[in-house]
Amino acid sequence: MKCGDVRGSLLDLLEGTINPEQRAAVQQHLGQCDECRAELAMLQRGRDGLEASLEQVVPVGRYLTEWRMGRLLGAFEVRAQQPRIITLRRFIAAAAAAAILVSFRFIYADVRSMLTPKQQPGEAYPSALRVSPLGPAGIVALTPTAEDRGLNVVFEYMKASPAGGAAAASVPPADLVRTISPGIDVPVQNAFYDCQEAGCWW
Amino acid sequence: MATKSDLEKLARDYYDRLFRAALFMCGSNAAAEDLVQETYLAAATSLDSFEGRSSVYTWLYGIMRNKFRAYLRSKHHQVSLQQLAEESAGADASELVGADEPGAHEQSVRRETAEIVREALDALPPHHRDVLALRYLERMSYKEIADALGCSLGTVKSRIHYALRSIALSLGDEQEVLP
Repeated sequence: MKCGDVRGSLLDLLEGTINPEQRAAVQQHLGQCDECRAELAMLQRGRDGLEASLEQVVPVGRYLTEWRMGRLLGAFEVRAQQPRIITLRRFIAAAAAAAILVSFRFIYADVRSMLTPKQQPGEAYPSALRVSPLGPAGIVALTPTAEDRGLNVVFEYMKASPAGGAAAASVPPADLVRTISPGIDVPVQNAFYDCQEAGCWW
Repeated sequence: MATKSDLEKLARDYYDRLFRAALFMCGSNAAAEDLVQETYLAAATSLDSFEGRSSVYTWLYGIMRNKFRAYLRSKHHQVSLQQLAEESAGADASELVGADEPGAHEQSVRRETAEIVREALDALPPHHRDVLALRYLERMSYKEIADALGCSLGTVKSRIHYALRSIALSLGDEQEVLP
């Protein structure tokens, strides 16, 4: 037997709960292994110390005095007279849990309505977006027409400004625009739609 | 829900034994008294649901263990068996039964050993103290302990092994241990 196997059986050996075959094997190992013998001695010392001290650590005694019995029965009577308070507590806890669930339901509905498109991208795509230059080359403002509720969002158009900025120009729906959020390029109609839904850009 | 007389009978039958186990767990007379009382009050409300699959004492002991866990959580502290020594020093000796009067040296050695063991128990995690209580106080078999705690036999043995080792290390080689 290896030390690891023997260590697992030392407690059984100490307590006499080991089977005869195991006992023989463990004892044979102990005859050759100082460390396991020391471990067994340590367990024995711990157990003997505990057994010898139990009476002082937790003395056997008559703990149920009349006073304690009276206190126990008194507490029982008090609890027995308080079912309504317990019920009220449970009711309050249940009501609080229900209120939390309902509020989560509303929050979920709000968030969902904000995130769910009311119209599919492209459906509300304006027939024409006015493009005007805003300084550095390529930066344009896409200004929807009046029927698009005055939305005015700034994009960086990926292509060169088509009309030099003076005249209104149509932006083809499939053209990609680079938004003010770096790395996010979206089709024009989606960008327009998302802006309209969110009320602002990302 | 138990009646008052049911509760009184339960108390007369098991209070002392439960209290001793509670002392082992909590280490304080006051805490043990509260723990046992809460155990009985909980038992009174669920007496109807007791199916008799274990002994009444085992059932009560299980309730007490759960209450003790809640107590530890609520108090946020490790309970000190050291408190028991302080309380016992001033306790009414008439409450305690069975104190022999050994010789002065022997008494002193026993007191010293108990003091060290108490401190060692204090330092143990509650679940290690728990298995020691079940094994050496309640005299349960490993199998019964494993069933009561809902853990494996190997876990029970390793916890006892660890706990006894800790006590032995606290006792050291110098401390005389009387049988």
